[in-house]
Order: sequence, then structure tokens, then C-alpha cells
Amino acid sequence: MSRAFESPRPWWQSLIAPVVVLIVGAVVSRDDFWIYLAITAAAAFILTVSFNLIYGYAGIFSLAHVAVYGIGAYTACLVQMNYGVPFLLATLGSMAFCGVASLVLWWPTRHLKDLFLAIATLGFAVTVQEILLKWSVTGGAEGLLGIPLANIAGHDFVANTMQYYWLAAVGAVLAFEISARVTSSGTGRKFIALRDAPVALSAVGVSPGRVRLVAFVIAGALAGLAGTLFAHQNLFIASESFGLDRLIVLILAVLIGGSGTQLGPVVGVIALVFIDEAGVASAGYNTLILGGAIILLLGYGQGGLMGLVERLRGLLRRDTSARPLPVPARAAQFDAPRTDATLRVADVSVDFGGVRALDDVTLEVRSGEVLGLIGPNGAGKTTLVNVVTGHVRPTAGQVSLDGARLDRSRPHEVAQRGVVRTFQTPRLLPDVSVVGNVALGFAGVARAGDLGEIVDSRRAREDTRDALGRAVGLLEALDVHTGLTEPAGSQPYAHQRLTEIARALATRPAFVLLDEPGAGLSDHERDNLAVIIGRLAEAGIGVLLIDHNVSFVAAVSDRIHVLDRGQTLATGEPAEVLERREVVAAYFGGDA
Amino acid sequence: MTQFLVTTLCNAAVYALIAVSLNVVYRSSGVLNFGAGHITVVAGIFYVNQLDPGVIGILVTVVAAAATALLGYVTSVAWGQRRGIHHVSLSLALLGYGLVLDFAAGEIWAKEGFSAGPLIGGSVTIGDTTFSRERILVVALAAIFILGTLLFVDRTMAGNAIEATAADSELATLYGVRTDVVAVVTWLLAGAALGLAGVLQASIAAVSLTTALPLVIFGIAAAVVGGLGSISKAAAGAVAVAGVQTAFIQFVSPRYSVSMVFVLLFIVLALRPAGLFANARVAERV
Amino acid sequence: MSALLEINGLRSGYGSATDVLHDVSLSIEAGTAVGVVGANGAGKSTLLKTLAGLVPVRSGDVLLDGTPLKRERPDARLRRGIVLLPEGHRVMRTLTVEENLRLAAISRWPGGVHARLDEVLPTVYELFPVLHERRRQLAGLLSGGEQQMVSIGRALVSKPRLLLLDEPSLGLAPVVIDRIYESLRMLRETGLSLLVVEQNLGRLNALCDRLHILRLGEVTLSANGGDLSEDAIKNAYFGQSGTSMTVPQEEEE
Repeated sequence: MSRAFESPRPWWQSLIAPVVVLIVGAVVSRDDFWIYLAITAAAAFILTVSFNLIYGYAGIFSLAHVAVYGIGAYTACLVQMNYGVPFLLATLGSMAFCGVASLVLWWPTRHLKDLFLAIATLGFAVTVQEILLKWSVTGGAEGLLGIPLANIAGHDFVANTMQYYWLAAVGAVLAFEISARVTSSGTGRKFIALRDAPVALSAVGVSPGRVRLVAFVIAGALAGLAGTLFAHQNLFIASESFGLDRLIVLILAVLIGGSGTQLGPVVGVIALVFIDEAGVASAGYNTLILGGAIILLLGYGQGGLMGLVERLRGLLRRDTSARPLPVPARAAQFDAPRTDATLRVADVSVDFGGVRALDDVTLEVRSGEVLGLIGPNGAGKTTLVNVVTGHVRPTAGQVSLDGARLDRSRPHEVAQRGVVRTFQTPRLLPDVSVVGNVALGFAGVARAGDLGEIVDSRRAREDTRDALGRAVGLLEALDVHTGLTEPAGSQPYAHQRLTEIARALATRPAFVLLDEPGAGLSDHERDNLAVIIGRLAEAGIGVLLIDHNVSFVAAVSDRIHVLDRGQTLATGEPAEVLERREVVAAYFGGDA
Repeated sequence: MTQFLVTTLCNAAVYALIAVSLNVVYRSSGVLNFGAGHITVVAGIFYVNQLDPGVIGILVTVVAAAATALLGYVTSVAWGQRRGIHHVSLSLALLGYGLVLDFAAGEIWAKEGFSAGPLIGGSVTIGDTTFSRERILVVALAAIFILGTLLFVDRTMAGNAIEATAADSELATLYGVRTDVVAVVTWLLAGAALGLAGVLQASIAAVSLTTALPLVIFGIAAAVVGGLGSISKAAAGAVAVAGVQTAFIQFVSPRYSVSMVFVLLFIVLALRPAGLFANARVAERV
Repeated sequence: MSALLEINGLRSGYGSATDVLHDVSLSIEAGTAVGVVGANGAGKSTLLKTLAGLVPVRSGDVLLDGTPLKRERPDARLRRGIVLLPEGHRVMRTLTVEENLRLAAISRWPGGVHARLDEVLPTVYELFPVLHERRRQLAGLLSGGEQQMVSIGRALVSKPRLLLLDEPSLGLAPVVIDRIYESLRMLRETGLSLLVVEQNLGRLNALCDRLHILRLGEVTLSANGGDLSEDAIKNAYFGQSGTSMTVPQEEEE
């Protein structure tokens, strides 16, 4: 399970990297070859950490990452060589430029599916290779020679010396710190959600496109740093170093180490350096080994070495006693922000390629009331919810919240405006704890911004503590007292549904749309659910409840709306609606 | 102008075959064969070095390429597909397979460029442009193959089985279709297209291991511009890509041919990811 | 006389997730129609998918003519005579009506497609004349009811002994449902066995010889068709929670 969802970073975590770097420095200082390896490893570590962020944590298959690494290397060198820019400034400039280049990659692909993203990034990578190879500015086929030594305040850092090691080590510590802070904060939670359940992100009001942006830019900047350090170590760069082979090795390193973990890159770097050195020795067989390893790891493997360790740990931990709560509970309010709001669906019709899923449907939900939506299968109930939440565009009609149009907004915008939903099958992060899943609901309201999470560690830690604490509070308010620290995927259905509801409540919504929350529940669990729904209404939240258990809906709702084959059949008080012949007939066909 | 058309059509012939191959596999499994460029190039190298130009040579190459593609499916995709491994991971695994082919070809034959001898001799003159008759043959062969594939999938019952499995594989098994057999036929067909592409590429220009990646990018661009998954639109996409590329080379600069195709691809992905020629009909086939 | 199909203590589920069916037992006599009613999550689709070979059996057994069915795939089950018509009147939308029927034929009799089609098509077209009219139309452009007819037609081409129908009335207008159920009744009279899962209990009452209620993966009530009174049915639907029936529906997706 990921740290981001477990607990805020311990303060001493910031000591790990410097200590390790000092120890390594002490050990390698005697031998030139060891120094060279250590420097190479440090630069490789930064690159691996950056790729682990974008691919391991955020799940983005950016095949252009090595190209960005190359852009970083060339940029830093060229501005120094052609414009006399000093080393530090050149490095920072190169990192910034890589961030911008990553924006260029991100913008057209931000809403595209994984495969198209992979295509776009692969194309970018091959293109950058061509440019590096053919452009005179980058030295063409010969590459860039005569790269100046890294120079800070008049002092030269000669390649392959201990001095350069310390320079590279600073970079490595920086990269580790940035990565550790990002991944244990709200951004880390968003990355993991992006990877494992993007629908959950928009459900809590976070734009998946924006999370991709953050991932691209941070990873890109770090790749630029790695490239710069690499260039000033080798004093010569050519396009071959930034091509497909390098990308494959990088993917392997992250996979072998185990993507999405903090220790993974460490293991991965060791593997990477090993592969590099072994590659020098077995030059001819390099391609074969890389190709075979990729087939094995991508076509068959899951989780890498760290994943194996996790699984072993899971096997060993037979102890079924509950893990302790990460933080003490905090009071959690879910009172609706307004008590006089109206959510209105007006004359909405939806056509799906010739099939009329909804036909001229009008309904209204007010703050503090429960509207039950029932109807036989295929009646269009879920389609209606999808229209309200922005997952489906209506062919006609509109949805409005207090008079302001809602149907033109994207799903995450709808959630931000106070209308949230749960899904027929709970969309949770199965490997993250129950508390962690609910904590994701606070992602839209964190106080530290994206940059703040990297820079102002204390506020980010406080945000995490707050999110986790309030998550516990919310769960307790919904009468979920057990299994809070267990993976959500292992919990019984009833708990999963309540977890999803708690997550929705974390956003302090004005309206909650529940899509068949009672499905798969026992009578007792459904009775509990009815009580919970009552509490939501009491808190001033407007509830739209879809369920096929008519008696359940009737008991809980203030009003009922009946749909049949996309059309409104009846609307009104439960007792009255259920007596109507058309409603009974809709369930029986022609027999009643 | 005539030269422009000839060059465009010849390149389009190769790109279209690769795009058709990519689409056939993508439709049936959601996986994009990133190793397609390598299979094409290795097929071409095999053809140049081991066979004489001619019908037999082409047939043998096509069969060999089909088998190579099937091997790629079996080693890199089949297992992962059944276990639900992400299709982008499997697409990358195929790239790994391409690297293995790269290694093998490098060992067996040298790592250089190879050009094939002509299939037919003679030349044609239109206006003041002269070009070899071979070029016409290249375009014709590609067109025949693609047309044949379309007819096969559209009209024959075996082709219907492939189409059905691609559209809804679960329902296909409920109809009694042997989906594993269909998978084998699909990959053999995809490989055959790449084999022919390799032969043609060797005939109009040259094949070498370094052009494997650019070729797959061109093929992907053609497929995406036409509309990923649509076999019939792949040819149109290929002509568009080849046309823009030839124009760029002739009127702007011959050096950045890959980059410029990529820019086109990027623009299409940003504006119309469904492809330039896509339409939204309900029951669209092939 | 041993039943055509016998299910004993069946336990099954998806992937590595928890069991959906916990302990299902029922039997189907040859030439009869059996109905199953249950709520979402009760497992009725899972039951049919398990019988068809799409979902593996975890424990318990399924016997066809007294012999147990092993880990067979759907196409193998089909050859044994078990044919599943999945919910939502699913057909091959990009093939024509004729091609749909032919696909079913070629899958089972690759060598003798035409012979089989000559044998069975007249029956199918007699049962559903509109299919003959629309035989060259793409199945995706037909109405829901016509698609359901195509689905039944292609099932018939496969020479079934037991038809598994998953909510055949789903999303169809009442008059069309009448037509479909009429054809099911006729098929039953020719000796075909049916296992029908529905939300629409009333229709099942009229068609089926035997009814079972499926709830949370177990059979909780069994009765002979026609034995349940209208009042009992209505009570079960709209009565207080506590009685074992809820309106049975599947996920909309």
C-alpha cells in the first residue's frame, strides 16, 4: 500500500537520502572506477526517479521521457557553450525548458486514452532523435563535443572525481526529496488515483487532465536535471544516448525495481548500472537481452522486485489484528453548504445512435429531500445520472443547479459545483485502505497547492493528517468502525458502498446521486443504508436515489419518480405512485 | 507533378500495408503492434538476401513474415492478453520482440541497407517524367492485397468470423466461434501484410534495421489519420501521410521526414483523434 | 428418469473475487421450461454464464444427461447442446441477419454449412417471418425485438438441447415481448428445454413449468408454474422488506 494514503511523511525521512549519499561517498572515494560508477548511478537515479513518478505512480506511458532527458542535456550544454550562461543557471534553465517541452507533449494528449498517449510520445521520441541527429546546432551525427566542465562560482567540477560525485549526489538528494514529498502528499494520492481509477478522480472534483500536467512537468524537469549531470560527466553527448535503447533500459529499471514505490528506483538503478556495464561487456547481445527482458517483464510480469517483496510481506503478515489508525479521528462535517438549492433536469432527451435512452424527462431535487428514481431495467436511470454528472451530453434539454447550467460542464467540474455521485459498482482504489480512499475525497480542497507540496512540507503534512483524520471521522459518522486500515478491495460490498459515500461526502456536496447503493446488500445492511441516507437528508443534502428494491426506495424517499423506457411514468408521493396501474404494469408487462 | 504522385503512391503503398496490419491486430485485440516496423524490415532484408526477385520470392517472404508475426503473438501477447495485462504494456512487449528480431537479423545478415533487384523491367514516360514500371507494380500489388483483405473480411464466412471476434469476442464464443483459431489467422494475415510491405519497400528504396522505428511511426500515422481500427480507411490515411511527407521533402527540406510526419500525427491526435475520415455511423464495418 | 440438466451445490464467481453463487441446486427435466427470478447481485446472470462456460465452477457439479460437465469453454458447451442468449438481445451488429445465422452454422459445422442452413433456415423464417424480409440488413440496424429474434434464430441454428435466456424481455415493448414469449412456448412444445432468467415474473408464471427464486447466490423458494397467485407476486414486489423478493434487475451499463 502506498505511503500517500497511509500517513503523513515522518520528518526523519528527509535524512535518509543525505545519509545514504554520505555513506556511498565514503565507500567509493578510494577507487576511480567506483567513483565513476557512483556518479553514473547518481545521474541514473534522478532519471529513474523521474520516470517512476510519471509512469510508476501516475501510470502515464510516456515513451518520450528519454527524449526529454536528451533535451535537458543538450539545452544545458548549448546555452553554456553558445551563450556563456553559467552552469547553475544553465541547469535551472534546462530544467525549466524540459518542463515546457513536457507541456507541449501534454497539451494535445491530456484527454486521450493511454494508447494514443503512447503513440504520441513514441512519435515525439523518434522525432527528437531525428532532430538531434540531423540538426547542425546539436552537432549532427558527430554529437556535441567539448562540453565545458561544470563550474560553480569559479570552481571547476572535474568529471570522474569525488567533487563531481558530490555535485551529482546533491542532485540525487534533491530528486529523492522532491519525489518523496510529492508522492506522500495530495499530489501522490491524485497520481495513484489517475493510474488506478481515473473515474474516481473526476468524481471528487479533480481534473485528470490537470493531474497529468503536474506529472509531466515535474518528471520532465527532473529528467532535465539528470540529463545535465550526465552531460557534464561524459563531456560528450550524441543522439544515440537518448534513443530507444535508453528508453528500454529505463523501463526495465523501473519495472525490475517495482513501479510506484519509493525504494523501487534504488533497486532499479542498481539494475540499470549493472545492465549498462554488462552491456559494455556483451556489446553484441545488448539488443537481444533488452528485447527479451522487455517481453518478459511487460508481457508476463507484474510488480517487479518490490512487488515480489510486497507479496511476500503480505503472505507473512498472517496476523489479522487490525493495523492501527494512521491518525486520530477528526470531526467531520458533511452539512450541505446551502439549504435552499435546487437541482433541475428539464426536458432532457438522450439519443444513442438511434436508441432513445431518455425521452423528455423532467425532474427536480431540492436540498434536504430524498427523491427516489425507480423503473424496470433499461428505463434510463443510470443514463439520467450520467447526464447530470456530465458523463453524457443530452441531445435536448438541460440540467441546472440553482438556475445555472450544469450540462455543459465536465464531470470533475460538476463535482466541484457540489453535485457528486456513487457508482453501481464502487469505483475505489482496491489496494488502498478504506481510510485512504475516503481521504482522496479531500483532494479537491487541500490548502497546499501543487508547488506547496514540494516546497512547504509542513503544510502538506498537515493536509495529509487532516485528510486522513477527517476521513476516519466521516467513516465513523456513517457507522463504519471496522476494517478502516484494510485494503478497500477486500472489504464486504456494504462497506465498499459506504466508503464511496463517505468519499463523496468529503467534498461537502449539496447533492448526492446514489446509483443502486442497495445492490448486493442483505436486508440488515440495506436498513442501515436507509438510516444513513436519512442522515444525509437531515444534513441538508439533496439525495437522488436509484434502486431496484422498490420497498427500500419507498421507505426512504420523500418523493418517487418512475421511469419506463426513457419516459416519465409517474411522480409523487411513494404510497400514491406505487398504487398506480401503469407503474405496476411496467414491472409486470401486460398482466396486471 | 507526376513524379510527386509516383513517389507519394509508392510510399503510400508501403505505409498502407503496415497500417492495415496494425489495424487488423488492433481491431481484434486492442494491441498496437509496435514491432511492426521490425517485422517489415527483417522481411525485406530476408527477401533481398535469400531470394530472387519474383513471384516465388514474394510468396516465400510473405509466408515467413506471417509466421514471424504469429511467433510474436505467441511469445509476447497471448499469455498477457488472457491475464488481462494492459494493452499498452503488450504493445511495448511487441517492441521488445522487434528488438529481438533486430538482433537476429543483425547476426544473420549485416547491419546495413539492402535494396532488391527489380521485379519487372522497363520504364514509362508520362509528359517529361520517366519512372520504372516497377513502381506501378508496387502500387498495384499493395492495392490488390488490401482489396483482397477487405473482401476476405467482408464477404467470406471465415472473414466474418474474424470480424465478429473483433467486434464482440465474448458473443463470438457464444456463437461457437473458435476464437483461438481466429487469433492465429488474424496474426498470420497481419504478418503477411508486413511481409509484402518489406518486399515493396526493398524494391522502391531500401530496407535497413535503422528504418524500422520510423516505418512503424509512418504506419501508425497512416492508421490514426485514417481512423484507428478501420481497414478500409487505412489506405486513405496512408495516401494523406505520404502526400504531406513528399510535399514537405520536395518543397521544404528533405532532412526531417520523420519529424514532419510526427507533427501531422500530433495535429490529428489533438484535433480529431478518431481520424480525418471517420464518421459516426452506427453499424460501421471494416 | 434423470433430468436433462442437474445442478448441485454450485459455487462460482468472477476472477479471484468473492463467490457470487454460494450453493445453487436445481434441475431441468427434458422438454420443460424453468424460470429463475432474482435481484441484482443475486447471481442469475452468473448462473447462466457458469452453465454456458464463461465463468468457472468453484465447487459443486453440473450434470448434463447424468454426465458431469468439465471445464469446458462456451464453444464446447455449445457442441453439447447448451446455448446461451445473453441479455440485451446481443447480436453481431456489423453482420447481416443472414451472416449472423451463417456464422452460427459455420462455427459448428464448418464442413457442412449449407446442409445445416437448408435444414434449419425454413424453421427460423417460419417462426420469425420478418427475419426473412430483413435477411440482408445489418443486424445493428434492427429493432430490439428483431434483434432478439435473430438471437433466438442463431441459437436454433446451433441445434440446441437447452436454451439459456438472460432476460429476453429486457428493454422491449409489451407487444414484442408477447411475440417472443409465444415463440418460446412453441419451441418448448417441440421438445426444446429452456432456462429463462427474468425480471418479468408474470410472463415466467405462464411459460414455465417450474420457478425458482434466487437471492444472494442461493435458491430460496421453488414452486410450480402457476402456483404463485397474483397477490403473492404483488406482495413480494411491493411488500415490506423482510419477504424474500425484490424487483429483479440487472446492471444498466
